[in-house]
Amino acid sequence: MIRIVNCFKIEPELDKVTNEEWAEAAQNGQIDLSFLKSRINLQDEGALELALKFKDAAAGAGEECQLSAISAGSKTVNNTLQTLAALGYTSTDRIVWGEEFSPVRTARVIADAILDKEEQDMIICGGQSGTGSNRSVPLLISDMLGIPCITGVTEFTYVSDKEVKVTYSRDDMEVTEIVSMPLVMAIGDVQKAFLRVPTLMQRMASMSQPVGEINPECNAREGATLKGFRYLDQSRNGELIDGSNPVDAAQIILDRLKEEGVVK
Amino acid sequence: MKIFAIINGSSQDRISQRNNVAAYFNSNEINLDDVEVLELSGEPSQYSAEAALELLVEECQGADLIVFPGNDSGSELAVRLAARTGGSSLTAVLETTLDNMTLTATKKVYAGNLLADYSMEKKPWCISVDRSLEIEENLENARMRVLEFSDKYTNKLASRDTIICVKEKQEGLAQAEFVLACGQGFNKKEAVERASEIADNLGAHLGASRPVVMNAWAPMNSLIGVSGNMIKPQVCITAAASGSPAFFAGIEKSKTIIAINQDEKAQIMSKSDMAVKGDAKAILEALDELL
Repeated sequence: MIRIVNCFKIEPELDKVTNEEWAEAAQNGQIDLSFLKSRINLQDEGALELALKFKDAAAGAGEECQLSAISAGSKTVNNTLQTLAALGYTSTDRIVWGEEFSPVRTARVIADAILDKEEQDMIICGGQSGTGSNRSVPLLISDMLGIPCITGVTEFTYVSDKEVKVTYSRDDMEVTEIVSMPLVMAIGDVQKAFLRVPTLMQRMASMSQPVGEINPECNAREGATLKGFRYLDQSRNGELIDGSNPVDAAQIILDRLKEEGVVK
Repeated sequence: MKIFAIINGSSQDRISQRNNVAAYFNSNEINLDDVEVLELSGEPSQYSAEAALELLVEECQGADLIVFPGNDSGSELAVRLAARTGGSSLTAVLETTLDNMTLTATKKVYAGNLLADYSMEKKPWCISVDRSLEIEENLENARMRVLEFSDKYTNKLASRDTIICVKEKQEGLAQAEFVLACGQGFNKKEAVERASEIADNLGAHLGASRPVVMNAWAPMNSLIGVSGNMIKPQVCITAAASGSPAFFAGIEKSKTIIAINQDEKAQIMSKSDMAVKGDAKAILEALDELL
């Protein structure tokens, strides 16, 4: 039996916010993104799909694999947790948590939730959130649990109930090796690793599986505390060209490219 | 102040690491005479984060500030060294100010849409530097010490059958004078392949935003942005890219940015020198015809 826990985060779709709205939010000192649509962090989504693929491959080799999912956040994560239950995650828990920009405290509550479970062979997270972008939660979980961590993972495949073959990116190098478990893995950018969609039958079969709720106690203290936000004005305010006639627009662009000396 | 800069052995490219941390010292007016550079010896195949951490815990005792480059391993070491030494960490730092023994560090957050100021109290302050910072400066004026790995530093990652290779890079993209960068609006592989042909005809290199490479419409090595290529061409045309800050960070050093997008309010439009409101695919086809 191989036990895997995925930790994931639901994030707002930040590219729907205009520059003006960011500027205003920073000036007011209030960043309320609750009105935005949210989705699974892209690297977390890759991590969930890779874990499902690993489970399928292990099953093909006669090895049972038990998947759990944990997310720290508001009730908006419950839909995703239900989807994961339908896809074969046997345990799905939400840590009741509203803190952003507190990686040490977030890692602490996740590590505690993992410690409350049976001993895990792999702890899998996305490498970086889109909000704080500090790349630190998986590394901190690794240190808190005393389990080695590999970052930038793009693939992992079944070898045995003790070992896993991992491919990961590190700076300008790519490494593939067979690694002993237990292991924390921070997943990097994985192409075409979108979470599969459960069938209606799978959804109905998982309806009776409740989403667990964890109310954490956390005394951990952040080393770096957020003081405030500022807007980063990167506007160049160039000329706006009407491109409704593609040929006219192309001619204007071509003239500029010649002027810049990149096209003769 | 006891300041260390750490050049690690995880990457073949040590010059970029030096240029990256040197840019931080330069922009924050920290005199290199006050900095000791610790360079981890060995080839990338010998590198282990666990062993590096054991070595740095010993060598950085009493440090106030430890500065790492912003590459993958530099950021990893910053976070983990702080965790092990009771200090505080922050990655991708742009600037710092020191006031009453508290370091205020600034970095981009919300996918690069805002800057956030953090107060770092617990020493050592372990920071990695934002990858966009770069200056040609080899840290020659700083004191330099090479740290040798030895058998006493054990690699806690129990591994075997290791194969390590240099990642395939798109030839010349990082140094290109002219780049055509495709965004999510291309929405299928064939459209991006056609854009690649047009880029060839124009004499431009093809780059791509994150959604494009995540969908495998373009190879991973064409990725432009914070986790990919940071380019600085004479001209960058962005086609059907919304211009998320993570992408923009990869093109912000372009001398001229020409954005083509159907959405006048897309972030890229106000961040460009010429903003063309229209169908990127049709305009590129017309441009190809005109050549």
